[in-house]
Amino acid sequence: MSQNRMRFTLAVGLMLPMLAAAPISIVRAQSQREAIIVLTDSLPDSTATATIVREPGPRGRTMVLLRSESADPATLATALVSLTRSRQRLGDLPPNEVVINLHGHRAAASLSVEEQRITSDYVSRLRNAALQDLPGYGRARTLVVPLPPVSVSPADRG
Amino acid sequence: MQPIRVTAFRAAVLFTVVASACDEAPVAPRPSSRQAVRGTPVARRGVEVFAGRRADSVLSLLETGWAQRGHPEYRQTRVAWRKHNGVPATIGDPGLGGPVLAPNADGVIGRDPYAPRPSPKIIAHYEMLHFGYKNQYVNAPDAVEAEVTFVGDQASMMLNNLSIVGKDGSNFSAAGALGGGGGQIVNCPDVIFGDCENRRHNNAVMMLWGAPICDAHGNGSVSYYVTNLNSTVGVTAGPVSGGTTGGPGAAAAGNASIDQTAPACPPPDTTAQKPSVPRDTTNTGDTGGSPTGGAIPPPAAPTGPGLPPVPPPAQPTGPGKTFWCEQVNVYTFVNGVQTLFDSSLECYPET
Repeated sequence: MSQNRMRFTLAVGLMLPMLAAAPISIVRAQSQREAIIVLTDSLPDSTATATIVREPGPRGRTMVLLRSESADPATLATALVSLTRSRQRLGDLPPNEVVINLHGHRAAASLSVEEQRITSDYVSRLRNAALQDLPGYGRARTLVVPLPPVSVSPADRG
Repeated sequence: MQPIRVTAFRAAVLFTVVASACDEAPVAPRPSSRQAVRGTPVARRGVEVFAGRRADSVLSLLETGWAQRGHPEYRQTRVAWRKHNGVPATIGDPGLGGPVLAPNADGVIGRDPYAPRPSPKIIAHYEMLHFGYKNQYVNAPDAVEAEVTFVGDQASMMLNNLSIVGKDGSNFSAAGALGGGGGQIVNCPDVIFGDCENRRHNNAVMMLWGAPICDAHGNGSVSYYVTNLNSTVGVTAGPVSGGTTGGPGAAAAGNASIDQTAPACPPPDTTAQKPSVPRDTTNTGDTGGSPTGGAIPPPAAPTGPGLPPVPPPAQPTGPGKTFWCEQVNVYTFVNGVQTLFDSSLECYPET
């Protein structure tokens, strides 16, 4: 009996932390380590090539808005570089809403092999994605992509 | 009881392994990869214009290249001109402070919107043609920068008939708008309550990709045109050469010539070596009667941006580089109203 109780206790002891940790991990993945790439007909800034919106709070969304007519791997790679820089400065949970308007983009030849491969894949999948309702932005083609972890720069933080 | 406990135990272990494996699996682009896809280098040719803060950011990058050619005074002269004319050394944030009231200061608190408006006037202007520099690591093109301080609602700057002719027969010509709009309010200690006569500042830079950078001579002119918006009196037709002060509702115009000679080209085998002492001269004519950059001697102490670290030799020489810019706006809520809290703008080379 005591052996059974020990086994039961061990099983519960292992499961509880996992059950408690799983939702945290999921929430973090949705709000901090993922971005929604949005293909839209127009951007808030008509002169911008891409717009990044980082909503505050633990449930805030991170969105990369690309113009349908000009979305390409170089533009997306530029946006991801800018987003990474912002995450390094402000962390994954910005205290306020951050809107980044990009003008111009990196040269296609400057993309690394990995950047070229991944952004081409993203753009291709994005163009084939189904139209969905994105709260605050209407119907658009969207693609949720994971973001690599970044470390906040102490200099920028201070 | 026994089968249930074994199942629970196995489930816990399995869940642990799966959760651990799924926690971190980033597949997005990583900045660590340095192997680049190289396209066929194509020499860039044409012009590219930046205005306001973007121009400042681009200039800060170009100035490192010009400084390597031995011209840190390009930046010093511009900063000195700005200081002399009450313009901040760095262009301010258009989303905060005075410029948010653009294009007109009629909305300033405490000011009678029906009061007589100050006449448009060009206070000072500054225009320069800088020849570029290129070596194994740096590729800074020729560029024309222009700035103007004025009284009025908006100013436009136009480059006219710029021609750069090389001794080898190469020719480059450019013309077009350098920038325009309300710019930023300057020389006003109290934007909210002070009567600052609607003094403003505009700046721009036009990069000349493909223009000769040595053994060449360039000349042209920059014209300035200042107007008030919502004028009840018609604007006088066309820019007036020589610089004017318009009447109420009229326009003011000025024109300044650019004339500069590039240094001699270094021998082919020394292009990657340390640049020689600069030999070009700058003659900025002024037909408008307003102070220009040429009248402000550069400060003695060097305050340039400094030379960037030399990149590794493996870095290849690429085609002409241009820039992309990011404008970061941070918003917060004040009494339930979303308000611009902070704004910054940075430009980066596209490679």
